[in-house]
Amino acid sequence: MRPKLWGFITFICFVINPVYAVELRVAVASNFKSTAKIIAAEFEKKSSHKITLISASTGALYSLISHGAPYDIFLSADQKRPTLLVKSGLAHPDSLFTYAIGQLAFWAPNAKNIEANSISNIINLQTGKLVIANPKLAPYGASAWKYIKDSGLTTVIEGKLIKGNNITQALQFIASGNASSGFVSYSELLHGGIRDNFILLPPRSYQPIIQQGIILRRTKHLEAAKDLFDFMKNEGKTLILSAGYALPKIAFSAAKVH
Amino acid sequence: MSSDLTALFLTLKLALLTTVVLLIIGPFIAWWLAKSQSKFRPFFEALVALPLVLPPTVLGFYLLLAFSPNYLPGQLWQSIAGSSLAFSFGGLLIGSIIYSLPFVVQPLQAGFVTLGNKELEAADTLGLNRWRKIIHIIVPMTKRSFMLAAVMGFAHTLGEFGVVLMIGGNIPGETQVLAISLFEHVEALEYQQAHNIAAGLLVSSLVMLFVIYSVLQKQDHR
Repeated sequence: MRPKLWGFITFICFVINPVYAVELRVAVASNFKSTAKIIAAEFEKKSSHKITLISASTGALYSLISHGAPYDIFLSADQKRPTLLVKSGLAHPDSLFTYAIGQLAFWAPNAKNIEANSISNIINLQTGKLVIANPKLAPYGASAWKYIKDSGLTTVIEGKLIKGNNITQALQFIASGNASSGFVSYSELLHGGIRDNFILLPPRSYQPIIQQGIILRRTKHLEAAKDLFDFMKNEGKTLILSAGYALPKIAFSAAKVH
Repeated sequence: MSSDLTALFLTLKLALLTTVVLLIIGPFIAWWLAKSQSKFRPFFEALVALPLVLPPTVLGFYLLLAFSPNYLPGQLWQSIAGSSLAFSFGGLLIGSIIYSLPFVVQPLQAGFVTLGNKELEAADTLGLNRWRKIIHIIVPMTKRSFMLAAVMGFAHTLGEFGVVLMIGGNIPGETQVLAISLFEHVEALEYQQAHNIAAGLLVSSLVMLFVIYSVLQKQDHR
């Protein structure tokens, strides 16, 4: 009876409580969170590592990491911050890679005939606010702001511009009806099930949003972190592409993801 | 620095207007809470105290929904005023009034509770009408409660952050208050500007509270 009971208990322990090899804390830029969730779920299935996601604007996460936040991986929405972390010795330089290229979209849920209209016209006609992510903190915001300046929209947006803390808040301000339009991440639109009333900006019309990931030096789980990056570089690519991102050397086409 | 100066004036304007509005409506609420025997009183006391215990994000979330033209309150406002309350100074003012309400009502209520009925009855026998009673008896006798309420309401609004973060939209001169520009400086690692604001808020809040507590102590000794 006794040995059998112990055997049973051991069996139960293994079945009910699969031993997680390690827990990886991944700091992820807001725009990529929904995609990172999908990747994490797939990766967890394959590897039995557990992944915890922490999301905020790239600038906010960078500030946390430079103050010693206990994360293992940083999935930034730009190239600048990971490079700064390498320079200050907080990250493994050889782990740096471009995991996605962000696509900027202009979304105006209530605008009529959006395909036939110009962005400047739509903004001109709307009475409500236009939202971008804070250019100081969010790469999508910086890119949107540069687009606004380069395409001569600065006078059009006067008195209408508001800033979200990150690209997700920008999207939420429009989705909740408080802002009329804004520049958001194409991937987040797809994720939110929005299929019309947006304009995907032509890739060459704005500063590309090169999203780089890096392993932080303070990690105690270097091997597991490398496993995750390998997964993202191989099987993960299809997930990233179908979430509405481009990848280096793979030409982005909107048709592919629809 | 000029954008921080704009934020400073905006914050002072917001705190001042909030305090003025609360000093007008607060006494009536506080008086009712202090004197009413109604069995509904505990419910309204709880309602007033809610901003003390709730995270500001709860208020921010509901205000965001209330201001949205997708819902009835926002629609009504839009049809009357022609513009939305979200991302506007008016919206922040509404948020601040709700958020700082207990900081003004509670000191006043405490003052009114201790106010003796004897003086009020004497005034009644003298035939003073309601407004004269307020001006000649109630306000002078609860002066310190009014001062405390004003300072607490003002200082608390200076430090407002969570609600503004959710409904403000970070517009310089309209909704970018000091706490928000401080947040932005910290996140952007602009520590010098962050220090200017943080130290400024710290010192001015300390001075304000110190002054009011000193005044109250002096009155105690009299």
